[in-house]
This record gives sequence, structure tokens and C-alpha cells, in this order.
Amino acid sequence: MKIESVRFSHLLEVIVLFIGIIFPLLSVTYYVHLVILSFLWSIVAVCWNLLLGYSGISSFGNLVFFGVGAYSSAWLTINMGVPPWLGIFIGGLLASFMSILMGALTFRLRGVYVALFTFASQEMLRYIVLLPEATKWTGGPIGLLGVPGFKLSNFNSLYLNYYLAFGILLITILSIHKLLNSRTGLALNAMAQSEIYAKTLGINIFKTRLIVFSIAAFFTGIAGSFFAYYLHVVTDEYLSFTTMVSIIFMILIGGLGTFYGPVAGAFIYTIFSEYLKGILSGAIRLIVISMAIMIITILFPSGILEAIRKPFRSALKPKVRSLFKSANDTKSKAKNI
Amino acid sequence: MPEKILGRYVMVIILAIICFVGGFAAGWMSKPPETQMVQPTLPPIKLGSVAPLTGPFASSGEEMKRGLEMAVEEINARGGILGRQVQLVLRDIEDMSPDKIISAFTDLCAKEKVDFIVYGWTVVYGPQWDICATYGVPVLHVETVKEFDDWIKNHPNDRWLNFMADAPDTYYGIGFAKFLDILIKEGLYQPVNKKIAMMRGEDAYGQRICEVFKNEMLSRGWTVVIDETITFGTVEYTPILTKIRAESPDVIINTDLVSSDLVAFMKQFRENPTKSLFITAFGAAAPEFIELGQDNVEGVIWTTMLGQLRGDPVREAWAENYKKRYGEEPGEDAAFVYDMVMLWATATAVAGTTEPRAVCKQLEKTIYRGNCGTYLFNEWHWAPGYPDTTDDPSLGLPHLFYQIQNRQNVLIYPSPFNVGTFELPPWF
Repeated sequence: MKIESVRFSHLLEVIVLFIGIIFPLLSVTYYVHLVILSFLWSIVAVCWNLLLGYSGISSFGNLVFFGVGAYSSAWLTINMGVPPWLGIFIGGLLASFMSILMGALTFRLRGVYVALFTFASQEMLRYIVLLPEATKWTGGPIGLLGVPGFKLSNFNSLYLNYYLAFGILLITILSIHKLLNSRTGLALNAMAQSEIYAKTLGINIFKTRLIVFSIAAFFTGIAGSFFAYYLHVVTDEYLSFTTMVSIIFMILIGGLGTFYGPVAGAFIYTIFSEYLKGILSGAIRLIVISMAIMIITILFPSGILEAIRKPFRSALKPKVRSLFKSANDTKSKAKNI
Repeated sequence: MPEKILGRYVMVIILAIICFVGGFAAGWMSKPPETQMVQPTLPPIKLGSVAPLTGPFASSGEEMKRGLEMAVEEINARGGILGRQVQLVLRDIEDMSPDKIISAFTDLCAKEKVDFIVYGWTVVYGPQWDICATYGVPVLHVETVKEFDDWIKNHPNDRWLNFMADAPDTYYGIGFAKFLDILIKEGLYQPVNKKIAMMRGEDAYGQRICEVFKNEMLSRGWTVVIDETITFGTVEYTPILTKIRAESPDVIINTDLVSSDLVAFMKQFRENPTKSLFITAFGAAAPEFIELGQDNVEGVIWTTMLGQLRGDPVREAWAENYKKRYGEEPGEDAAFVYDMVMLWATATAVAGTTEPRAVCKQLEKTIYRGNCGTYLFNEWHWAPGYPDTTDDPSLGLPHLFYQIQNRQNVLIYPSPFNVGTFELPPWF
């Protein structure tokens, strides 16, 4: 699998950033809410893609970190009055700590066993939160209700949540970009191509994986905490198989191993699913969604973002080249004069 | 653009067109959520609702949708309410995860701006009512949970808009214990060892019913010898059946909400049954329970604090219309959702306005006799049950106990609503 090397197209990013900033001012509450959900799922998808797409770590248990973040921060805020601003950070740290424990066991395994082990961890956590003995901590099947949300003076709470989620997504993307362009990122690239070759280069596979795993867990935990504070409830549904499959769809639609692909996939999947609810009923809607996913994954295995970028690159590149060529010709002519 | 890429895009466009035309055509033929309306002269009254049309609770969701459609179409056929047609706006909440429920309610309140919301039940309690309170949209439901009581007490300024058309689930366990008392007192059943095997459904409803029942029975000198949680979708029961066969308890209680799970259990239990009464809750209410279980579910007792009064003339007339339209027996979800829409319509008509506070004020004092009994809200905005919280059968929703006899749901308790009596299950 060819992994996209990380490059920014600055103009497009500025445009998207600008749209992101002004969007809530131009839109109704419902769509702002959908975009907030898309931001949060983007964070989870981007982190999962870091593992699946860039690191060759076949983890299917990332919702463990999502759940740890959500439950821990919600419990701390409800029972100990920890403010959400601090709770979200603690949720991320606890998720990261959990990932180190999990990683220490997981990375002794290889291939499909990593997938099975991580998936089993997720299922185990789901059953733990439902235990009658765990009810005082997790709320059992009811979950934790009445989780206080973010507040800032008289600032509209929906807008506050929107800009906070947007900000966290940007920080996540920047952090992962920095990671992938660092020595660790190069090591990941080498490991993803060939573990044996990476070892011969002196790369500590175990340590590198653990670092990446904990970074992905940290931001996933923060997304989980944010979910709890935004929706004001935490239930075991956050750890469900359905949620896991949805996130994997987001990554596949956007493009596994691409940088912005999971973000695009999260937006497309979240908004498309919700939009169809107003048009198609029941199973018909799910059939349409499933067919759309099948078409995209068959025809665009690199993801929908890459499918849009390629023709633009092919069409624009010669024009840009000729532009630079004529600019260079003009320069050298001017020099010769 | 290179030919290969162009060809691929042409193929995508063709496939996408086929996909969407097919989807829309199927959606058109399957009747979209909003009902067809007679051309109004006044703007329609928008009635919002949510239901699990897909996912593990889809059979209940389909019943809810049918109840809504029947009620709205009947109202519109009679000229609507206050001269206005009713437009149903229904949203799918799939597996009932919190984000889907909140998205659906936000859609109804903020985007669709519905006038009122009527829905059945979910597994999340609170956030959706907060959204309704934020937008001032009244809501009527049958969540059947203690959390509703807590919400009402903790939201004094918003309680005016939230109504639960049955009693909190704590009364399930109390009612179960009273029912056993009646069976023993009337000599219809004699326990041997006073042992109970408890199989709790994984949701809050299932857990709480068992917890309250356990406390009630312990106070009566019974013992709980098995106490396990069953996750939805369980199909293999050998481990727990081994324990049950070793203990041979007098009563097995199973509060799993999923009918197919219950059917799977009964099939495996009947291979080598113990002399135990089998009691379950709402999971057996779906018509598919008897369809799938057939003789294996003969003798099963199930209960609901809100269910159809089979044999009652009001219910029978409605059920006849349901059968003509859908070709099968109605489920409980269809019955009480239909009742709730009619209750809301009655209150709105009598209030003479769709102004939310006026409608809710009228709803507080409306007495409505529906398929499931009489709805009359108490000061806490939930509808008391008979005989759990009221002694007057004309002013409460009967807490019903059914037994499956000859592949029929026979109402055996409480009097005067019962049409049959308890029989020892065939495996005794």
C-alpha cells in the first residue's frame, strides 16, 4: 500500500479554515450540531488512521481510549467538580496511560492477533462498564447522565462547543503532521514498508509503536471526553461494534493512509447519513449508504479525497509547470540582457 | 484528462445515478416517513417523532411507525385538528446511541420546528428532554424510567412540557412480586424451593426490573440462586441452562428486550426443562415472539405496565383496523403510540390552540381511554398504573400479565380486565 507523503496545500487549507470559522454564523443549529459531530469523529478517524494507515498497527480497539476518556472525565466532573476544561485533558492522559498498558501486551503479537486482541479489549471494557458492581462508577446500562458541559460566561454554548471541537481537531492534525515529519514518522514509514528492514536500520519497533499508540490514544481520549461534555451523557454505546464499523467506514471512504482523507470521510459519512434520514426511511437508507460505500471503496481504493485531487493535479500540473517555465524563461532573458 | 480516468468517472456517474434512482424509487414505494396530506388551507400542525427504524430494535420501531401513521391518517381523515392537517415528521434513531438520539431531536426541534413530539421509548434518558426544553417543544413518551421522575423534580421551570404516559419502571418489580403473591394465595401455583434464577437484560430497564423484584422477593423469604446479565443478541444459553438445571428454581425471570433472544432461550430450555415458571417483560410483546417461538413459548408469562387490553372493545375495534391494513396482529408499541397521538390530539382540540403551554395545561387534566387503558397524569406528569398505584381501574393503566396459551396472548391479570386465567405451563 502506497502511503501518502505529507504535504500541505496551503491555499486550500486557508480556504477550509476560513469556512470553518464563519460557518456557525451562517448556519442553523442542526447543521452546526452535525459539523461538531463530524469534527469529533474526524479526530477519532485521524488517530485511527495514524495506526492503521501509517504505522501498520492493526488496532481495532481504539474505542477503548474513547470510552476511557469519556467515562473518566464525566465521572470526575459529576462527582468531584473537575471543570470540563481540565477534565478533557485528564481524559486524554488516562486514555494515553491505558494505551501504554495495552500496547505493552499488544505489540508482543503480530498481524491478525493484534486486531483480535485490541477488539477483545474493547468488548471487555464494554462488559465491564455494564457490570452491576461497576454501576456506581459507570452508571451501568443507563450510563452517566447530566454531564455538565463547557461554559464561558454568556458565550452561546453551541458556538463554544463548535469552536472548541474545531480547535481540538486542528491541534490533532498539526500534532500528527509534526509527528509524521519527524524521525518517528520516518521510522513509521520504514516499519510500514518492511519491519525487518526497519530493524536493520536500528529502529526500535516496540518503542516507536508505543509512542504512536499513546499519541493516538491521547487525542482519541480527548474526543471521547468532549463527546461526554457535549452530549451530556456517556453510555456503553460509545464502545459498540456499530460505532467501530462506522469509524472504519469513515477512514475507508476518505482514504486509508492519506492525511486528510479520514477528515473528509468523517464529514461525508456523518452528514450524508443524517441527510438521508429526511429522505429515505429505514432499511432503504442503509442500503443506499452501503452501496455508496461499496462503490467508493471499489472504484477509489485510495479514498475519495485522492480521487478528487488526482485529476486536478493532472490537469493543473502542466499549466503550473508552463507558468513557472515561462517565468523562468523571462528571468533568464532578463539576466542575459 | 487521461481516457482511463475519464472512463472511470463516467462509470461512477452512471452507477451513482442507478444507485440513487433505485434508492429513491424504493423509498417512494415504501412510503416516506411523512404522511401524504390533503391540500391544506391552513399550515399543518407538525408532529415530530423518533423511532428505531433500523438496528436491533427495528421490529419495535416498525410498530411505532405504524401506530403513528394510523393515528395521523385517522385524524386527517376527520378534518385534522382545529381545521389543520397533521404532518408527521419521523426520524430514525437506529441503534439508539446518544449522538443519534440527540441529532434526531435537534433536527425535529431546531430544523423542522415541530409543534409537539410523541415517541415511544429509547435507552437514553435526559439529553433529549433537555433539547425539547431548550426549544420549548412539548414531548410525550413512554420511557417508563425512574430518571423521568428525577428530571421532572430537577427541572421545575421546564417540567411543564414533559409527559410520560405510564409509570416508572420501579413498579414492574413490585407488580411482579404482587402477581406471584396472588397466584400463591389463590392456590393456582405452589412454590417448592422459593428459588429464583435472574437473567437481567443489559439495558437499564432490564436491570432495574430485576433489582426491584429481587428486593421484593428477598423480603418475602425467597433466594436468588442465579443472577446474570444477558447481552442483546445472545443465542447460546448452555452455560446458564446448566446452572438452572442444577438449581431447578421455582421462577426464572428474564428481562432481555430482544424477542429473538427470548425465543432462543425457550427453545433450548424446552429440550430439558425444569419445573420453573418463566416470566419475562416487554421482549415477549412483539408479535414475532409467538411466530418464531411457536410451541416452545407456550406457557410463558410476560408482563407490561403498558399494553393492549386484548378482549376489550376499544382495543378490538382498533386491532381490526390494524389487521386490515397490515395483515397481522398489532404489537404493543403500535397500540400505545397510537394512544399517545390520540391523547395529544384530544388535548390540543380541547385547548383550542396549538400554543405549547396551553396544550400541556390541557394534557395535565385530560382523561383518555385508549387501547391500553385510561391515561390520566398525576402531579409528576406520569400516568399511574392499576393496581400498583391506584385502586380505581377506570383511572389507571392496568399492569398487565399475559400468558401464552394455544399460541395466543391471554390476559390473565388483573381483574376486571383479564379474559383468561393462569395455567401451569405445559412443561410442568
